[in-house]
Amino acid sequence: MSYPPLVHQTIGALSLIGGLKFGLFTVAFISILLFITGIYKYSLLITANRTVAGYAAILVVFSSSFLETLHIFGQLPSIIGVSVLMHSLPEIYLWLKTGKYKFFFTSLSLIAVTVTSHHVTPIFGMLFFIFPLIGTVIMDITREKVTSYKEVTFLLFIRTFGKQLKRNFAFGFSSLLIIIVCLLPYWINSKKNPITQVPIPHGSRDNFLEVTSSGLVFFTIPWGVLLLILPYIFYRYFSKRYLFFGLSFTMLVILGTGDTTPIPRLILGDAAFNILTLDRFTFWATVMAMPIFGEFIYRFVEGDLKALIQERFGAVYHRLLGGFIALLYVSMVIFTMSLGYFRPSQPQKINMLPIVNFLSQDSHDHWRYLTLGFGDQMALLAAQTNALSVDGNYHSARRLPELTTRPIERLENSKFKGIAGIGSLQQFLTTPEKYNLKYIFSNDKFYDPVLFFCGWQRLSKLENGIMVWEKLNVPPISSILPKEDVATWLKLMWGIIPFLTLVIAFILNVQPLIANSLKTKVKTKPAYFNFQNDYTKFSKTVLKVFHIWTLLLILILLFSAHLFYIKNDTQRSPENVVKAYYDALDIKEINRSYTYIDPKSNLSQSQYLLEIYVTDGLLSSYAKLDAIATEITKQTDSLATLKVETKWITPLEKLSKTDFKTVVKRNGKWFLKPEKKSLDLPPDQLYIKNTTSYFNQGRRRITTEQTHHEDVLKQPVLEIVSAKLIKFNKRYAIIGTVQNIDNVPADVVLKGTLYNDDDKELATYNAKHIVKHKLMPKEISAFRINFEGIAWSKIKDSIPKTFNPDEFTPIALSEQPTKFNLQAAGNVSNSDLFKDIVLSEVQTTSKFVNGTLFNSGIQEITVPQVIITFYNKEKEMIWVDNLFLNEGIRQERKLSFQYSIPKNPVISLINNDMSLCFVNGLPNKDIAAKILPNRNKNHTIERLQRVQHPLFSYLKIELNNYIGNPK
Amino acid sequence: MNGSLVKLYLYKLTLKIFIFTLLFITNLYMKEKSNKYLITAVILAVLFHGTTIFYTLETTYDALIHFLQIIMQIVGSNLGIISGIPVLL
Repeated sequence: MSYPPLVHQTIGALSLIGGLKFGLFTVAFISILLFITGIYKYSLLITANRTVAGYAAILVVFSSSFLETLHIFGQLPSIIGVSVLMHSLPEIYLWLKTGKYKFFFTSLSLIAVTVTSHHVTPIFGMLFFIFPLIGTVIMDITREKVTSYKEVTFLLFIRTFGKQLKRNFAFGFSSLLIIIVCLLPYWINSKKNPITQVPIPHGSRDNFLEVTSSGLVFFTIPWGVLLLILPYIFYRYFSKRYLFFGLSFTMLVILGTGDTTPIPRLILGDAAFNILTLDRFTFWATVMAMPIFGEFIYRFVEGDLKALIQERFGAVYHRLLGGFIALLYVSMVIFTMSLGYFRPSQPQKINMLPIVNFLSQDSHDHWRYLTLGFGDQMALLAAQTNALSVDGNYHSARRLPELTTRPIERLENSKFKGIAGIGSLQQFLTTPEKYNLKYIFSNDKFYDPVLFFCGWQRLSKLENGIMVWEKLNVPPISSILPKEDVATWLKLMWGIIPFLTLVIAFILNVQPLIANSLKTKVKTKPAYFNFQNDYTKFSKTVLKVFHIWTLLLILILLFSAHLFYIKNDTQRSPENVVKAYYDALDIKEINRSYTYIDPKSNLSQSQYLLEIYVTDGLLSSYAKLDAIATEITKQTDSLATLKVETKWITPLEKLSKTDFKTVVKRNGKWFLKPEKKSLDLPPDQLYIKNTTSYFNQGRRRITTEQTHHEDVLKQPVLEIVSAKLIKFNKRYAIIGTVQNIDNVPADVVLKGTLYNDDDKELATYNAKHIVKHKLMPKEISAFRINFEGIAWSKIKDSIPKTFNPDEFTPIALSEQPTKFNLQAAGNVSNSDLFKDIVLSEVQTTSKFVNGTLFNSGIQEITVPQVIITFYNKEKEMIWVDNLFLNEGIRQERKLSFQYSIPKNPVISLINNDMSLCFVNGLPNKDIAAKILPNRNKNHTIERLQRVQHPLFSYLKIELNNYIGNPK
Repeated sequence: MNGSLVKLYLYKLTLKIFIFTLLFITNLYMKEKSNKYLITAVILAVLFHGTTIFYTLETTYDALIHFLQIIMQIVGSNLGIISGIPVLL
């Protein structure tokens, strides 16, 4: 009950006849028809001329704002809302003018339909369409009392206004009542669940001069050819009769410009400005301009403007000008449509059947799932399966603080929302038990590393190429879910009223049409036909202004195109070629990137492609370029060196990189010098490796019955060797070591909870990246549990302004955590057990740890991770940190790394009492004593590396790795 | 009959229903005094949007945050033609 339902209910009702798509397209057809006829009726009301209204109707078919709203944004409810509103305008006019109750009811019935199809339209429509209409009616009545518009004075106007007050109020209050009653469940719902969503960025709120792409999509395209005749529209709407429309039109135009000027923000206020998408104002402005556009074209094609131009500039000029406008109009149509055609904003169509089958098999739908990289098709999956998802699209309706506190649209496309998106996704991936989230369907390789390092494992690829990821140790959803139920009468209202408004409106409005067509009654001309415009003498000044304005616009267009070209012409300057090169690499247009490489560098295209192909790793396979800055350090006529600073968003962390590039000029074009690749070659051609493999057979028969407990393997025993709660600078963390003391490989989940002195629970979170989630028998791993924003019981206190996965925001807490509880859970796992990575050549200084990693196995390591534990003089661990390497390591090759030691950290121990540590639900001490009674405690700290640092005396390095493509 | 044939049939049927409703509605307006412009507009709209909508509507997206960059790339790569004009001037 968070969105007016009429359009959706209609689609649903029609889908009973011919399926969902049938319903959708039928409603789309209806919306097109309603819109065209609506524009006709509205134009007829404004201009009182059937030919002009006809012109407007034809023009609006190809109006770029309508094309964009329908074909690119797909805002059906919005279109239907505004169409019905336009249908209601003549009825409102007639009620206010004539006072016949027939019109009162028809107008209200149409308002009711508008309300139930889109809630924002009637509220703002009241303001921008109906108020000026009321003003126009009063103006018309005043005009009837006198002989010309010149005699309409302000005093007279006010007097008529007073007389008209009763009708205006009758209409105003009844429509207000309709808005309240028809959407009562919506209002109650939004009162009960206030929108707590932080603003989600939207292009229509940008400064169009700064973000030119937003300007293009939300200003230039919707206005299109209307921009040319903007002065004429203002001129007409600011004539006395239309004065109020003029004011409202001006408001709409200004509101539609987003953050270009501070005015829209001032008018709407910060709150409304950040919630509303402002493209709708531009859309309404163009709708409002249509009658005047029709009028202009009418006068141009067959009226006084044609006569004037032909008289002053000759017939040929008139034809040329006509051709120019027509050409512009057609090219706007082609441009707008092709924008929708080339746009890859939605992924390829995914066959949902394998996923639906997977979810229904083997009770997989007892857990929640999440889709990644599905686009709007996630809704299609949700409609076909019983399983529940944690993700959702409509941001005004969601309640999970993980989603409402982040400016993200949905988790599914979080990579496009930068750090905030990835951060929000990581919170779901780290604590999936909280949401009973067990399965992830990934259609985008980008998210793989973060899934792996959060402890997820791959199951298999489905037939449609979707990778299924699974998390162990997640309980199924409880069979009874807490659900906020609404009263039955609200449900009934929600189901009945929208259709009822439709039926009533149909009966009231179609019946007179039929009566008319059957000629049972003699139709009188509507009252607004008394106010026809004079189309006999076109003002010469307006024509002059039109010419100047057009010329100005063309100059602006050409100039901005020229600027754009200079800035983006790829090989015009050293900076441009470097930027273009990184851009091409970022969107994987490898062939294009080769064209920027110096042709005299003896690097063949196939060699170049091969070199790119064999480089794997976080930066080359999983990073998105976020920002690039170049600085020329040296330049001659034909040679330049540049310092290139790039910022990348990877699923794991934000990366910055500094490169030095040399560019040369050949025949007036700048080219990049290629970089030399390492020539390191492993000595042997064929490597052989033996492995120990595991297979979980279970004892299960092929049956549709529930999984019995004997099918589940015994949980491997872990031991929490050490654990302590510390405070590092201003943040709290639980650090320690965990060991798999069983004889089977284990998947490890570590969950920490913080308490204060009064045993009040303050925060709960899981170990994220800093632990090896897969442990071989007897393998040991250091871990650190960070307590991120969402872990704390009071979310509001802890929301970091900008979320950065690796940079932690300190939390101001009134209550200090003093105790901790640590739960370790092991489950048998047979995936991602590759451990063939070796550390060598370690050198430590007081600032850095340098070393080399060698891949001794037969799998290519995509993302190597180094986990470093720091110890004090007494060899007690005091801090754990990690480092992801940006490059991958190919088989039998090495890679060097450098880790910078935290400079001046303040570390304090808060609690090292391990009595509240549990393994698989049993006390850690007891279970460890049973399996490993005589542990040699010196084993783990005997061979630590020394380090010169005021705080840290020793360190230990552990290695973890992610294999992107296991073979 | 298989599914796709049924669908095709349904689409055709809808189209027919639409054309008839269309004629009906336009007829209503025509009785007043035929307005050929409105009829033209309605027919044009149904033909143009009716065909293109099958390709566009299902891939619409109104949040438009991430695809703006891609648009600029498309525009940028085609802009050489337009910007040739000021160079000529």
